[in-house]
Amino acid sequence: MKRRTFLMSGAALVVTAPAASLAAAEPPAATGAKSKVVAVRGGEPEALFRKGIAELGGIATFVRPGQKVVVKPNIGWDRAPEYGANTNPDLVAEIVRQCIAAGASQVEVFDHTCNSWERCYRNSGIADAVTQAGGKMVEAHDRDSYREVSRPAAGSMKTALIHRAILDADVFINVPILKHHGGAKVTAALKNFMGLVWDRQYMHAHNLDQCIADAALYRKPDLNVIDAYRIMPTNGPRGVTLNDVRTVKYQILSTDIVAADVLACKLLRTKPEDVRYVALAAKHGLGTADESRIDVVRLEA
Amino acid sequence: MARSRFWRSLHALRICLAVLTIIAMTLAFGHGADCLALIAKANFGPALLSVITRFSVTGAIAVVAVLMLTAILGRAYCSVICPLGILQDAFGALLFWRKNHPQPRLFLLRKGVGVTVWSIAFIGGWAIGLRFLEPYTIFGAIAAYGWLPALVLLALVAWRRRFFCNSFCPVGALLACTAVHAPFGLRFTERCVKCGKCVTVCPAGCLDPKAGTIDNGRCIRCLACASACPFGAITYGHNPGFRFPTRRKALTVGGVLAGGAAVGVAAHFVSPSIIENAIRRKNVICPPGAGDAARFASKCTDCRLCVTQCPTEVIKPAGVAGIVHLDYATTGAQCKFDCKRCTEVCPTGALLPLTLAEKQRTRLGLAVIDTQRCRAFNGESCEVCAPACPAHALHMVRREDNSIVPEVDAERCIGCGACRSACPMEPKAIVVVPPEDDKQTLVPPLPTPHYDVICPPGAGSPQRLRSLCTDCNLCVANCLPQVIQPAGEKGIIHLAFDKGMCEDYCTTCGNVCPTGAITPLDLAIKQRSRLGLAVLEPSICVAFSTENSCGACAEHCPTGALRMKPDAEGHLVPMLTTELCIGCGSCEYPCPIRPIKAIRVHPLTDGVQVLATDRNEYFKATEPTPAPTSDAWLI
Repeated sequence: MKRRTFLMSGAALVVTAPAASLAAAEPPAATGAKSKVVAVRGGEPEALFRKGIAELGGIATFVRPGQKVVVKPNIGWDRAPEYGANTNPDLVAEIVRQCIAAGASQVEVFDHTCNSWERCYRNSGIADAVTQAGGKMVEAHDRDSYREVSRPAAGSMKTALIHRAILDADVFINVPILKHHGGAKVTAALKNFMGLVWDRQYMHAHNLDQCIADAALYRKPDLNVIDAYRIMPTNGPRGVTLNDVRTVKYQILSTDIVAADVLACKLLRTKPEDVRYVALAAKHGLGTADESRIDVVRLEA
Repeated sequence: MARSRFWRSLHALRICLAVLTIIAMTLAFGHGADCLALIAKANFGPALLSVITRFSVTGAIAVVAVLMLTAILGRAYCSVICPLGILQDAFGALLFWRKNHPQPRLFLLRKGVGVTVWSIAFIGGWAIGLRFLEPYTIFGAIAAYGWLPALVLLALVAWRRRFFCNSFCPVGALLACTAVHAPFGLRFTERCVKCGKCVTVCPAGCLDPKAGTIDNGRCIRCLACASACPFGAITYGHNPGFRFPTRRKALTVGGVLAGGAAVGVAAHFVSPSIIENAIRRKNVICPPGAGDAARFASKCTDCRLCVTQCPTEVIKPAGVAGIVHLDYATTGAQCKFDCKRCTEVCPTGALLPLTLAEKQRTRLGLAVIDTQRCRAFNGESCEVCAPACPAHALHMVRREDNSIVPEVDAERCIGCGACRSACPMEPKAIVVVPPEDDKQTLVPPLPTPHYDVICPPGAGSPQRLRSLCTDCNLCVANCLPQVIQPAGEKGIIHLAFDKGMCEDYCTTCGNVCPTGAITPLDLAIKQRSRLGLAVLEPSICVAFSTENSCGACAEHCPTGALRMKPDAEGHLVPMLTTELCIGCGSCEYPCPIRPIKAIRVHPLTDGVQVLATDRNEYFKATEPTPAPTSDAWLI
């Protein structure tokens, strides 16, 4: 080896060693097994969920008898289900039913809504569906329902007021709907976390993408079910007319929130690399954004 | 006989005039003859009183005119204008079979009563004497269906005809004093044969043919004697007028005057406390213009003109020892906001004349809600009273338990009883109590409305809203996002987006508005009604200055007017399509920039709410990307 080559490689080592150690700190992408994502299509929301959850081992894998479950759908808007602005009420009801069947002691459902909470709960159809399925709608418009939690690892939102239902539950099932988003480009599993934080405006003002990634640090969901029965490719997240809605009858289930969002982005014809919070969440170690490390199981319902 | 015919026709004219007067006065005390009520002001007693109570110029003119008339024609006032005098003549005509008799002069009684009554009024500032003795007032009491005074009067007339006029009448006393010293008067001529025919027709009993004298002080110029005289022996001519009295007479008269004045001075010191105590006990609400209740009680003669003229019949007479008052309890009526009739007609100045604007600000009392009885306080939905309030003083408010209840703004309440009269409960859940200290005060004027505000959907324009809105605040209480603000200093209901936005699917405010100030709109129209226009300030918006595509505004915009679009560098920034913007505040409310938000809704330039472009039409062109036809997986 020439002296010159030796010196060059030494310098290279000095430069790359910290980077390598950083890469090693990225679990589970670097070390663990592939993240499993189940994509189901071609049926009604309940049927899609039944098929998908069976592939993941059934609801009993996630909910044990006597556990307290919180289901967090997206109920942000005062819109009817056909506008695709809120999670499908049939899907939420099916999840609640299965949790109760699996022996959950209680199933709470809530969202910190954008429009008036009473109207959102009622007009989304979710309040009725959940109550009939045996779940309990929890109010989230009152500051007293939130508790302050801090996550020093967060990039921007180091402390936040988080809804007590999330903090108190044994099992957290995240049930977003897949939509376009004006600011963050895509709203799916990670973006759904804005509904469990009290001060949504703080997140908008202090680097939205970083805050979305930070929010997921406050409580890792045990299961993510992305409702893509109706998706909203344009004018999200609220939608203006029915032109913004397309019925594709998909559903994405995974325990890896980042991997689920990567597939969600693709379903919305958006490159996952363009959605900055996905990469930021992967950096937090919340899941993998590397498509080569995602194991997609495709099922027909 | 020519002269006699002259007197007969003059007598007939006098009777015609008297009949006209009494008909007019009777109608004035009834309904439907509004202009006639002004005749009351020509009566000497009330006119003189109005000079005392409020330096009334018209009152002074009437007093001077009557005195001048009396100086020339004698007490013609008593036979042509005074309604009670004419009424006595009418009673006398009913009792035609009873002959008239000469009457005692009763000089001291007349003078004593007159001076006492007027000095109590002048010096004592207390119209109590007039209340019981002033002829116009007594006529009022009779005209307003007072049977008792009518019967007493009838008995007096049956006994001695116009006895009242020359013994107790304080007006008669003053006019007699003038007439007796006037340069002209009636007298007998040498043609008199002392047949005594005139004596039998004279209601005042002032003729003494034997002595050949006519007492011009007592003569009420009814002209019955001259028209009855077969010889034309009574003529109008020179009156001896004033003569120096004897010392004895001067002392007597002086003594009577001094005594009357002394009573007046005593009344001055006694009256206020007596009246105030009496009123305190009564706990009454006085008509507008009464000022403070003690003042009103001391000036009002209870003539009942206001009682009969009140369109809602809410004013009730004083009775024997009371005070003219508003009776909301038994009438169930209200003091009409646009009416000041009582202050217009009051001839004595007890009710001060008010402009309509002043009357509408005059606090008569204070409405108090009985929360035990009120339906709204007991869990029922009732919102009748607040929209009925014409003074913008009764508001519906949302309580902590979400019930919506009425609340009186004591600062603004004028105690007109409109709310009480609207209250559906029986007995009523609202009572009106007299004002503090029984003094009427002016409530502050309504603030001048700011017309550069954002109005609720369906208001049309701020001007239209203001003209119809009663500030009942039902919309405020029902607006769940707390966007609609009470009028407050802006003087008009308006929107503010600090706590929420005008929700896209909500038409509550129009549906609850009871006055039509906010028109109920179809949802499709409401979703296009432009309330204001959003104005974006890129210099403070984080999306323009940093890498952070905040998107809070675009996220909430229901019309698609505000969407995040890439700028030249491909960075997402909010862009506004003005034609779609309805100014609902869905962008202003969530904007996280402080202290001044980067996007704010500005009021419309001309205030008129117009329809924005239909979002469904606007986005019709952008068909959704067609669903994939192939069976291939999208992911």
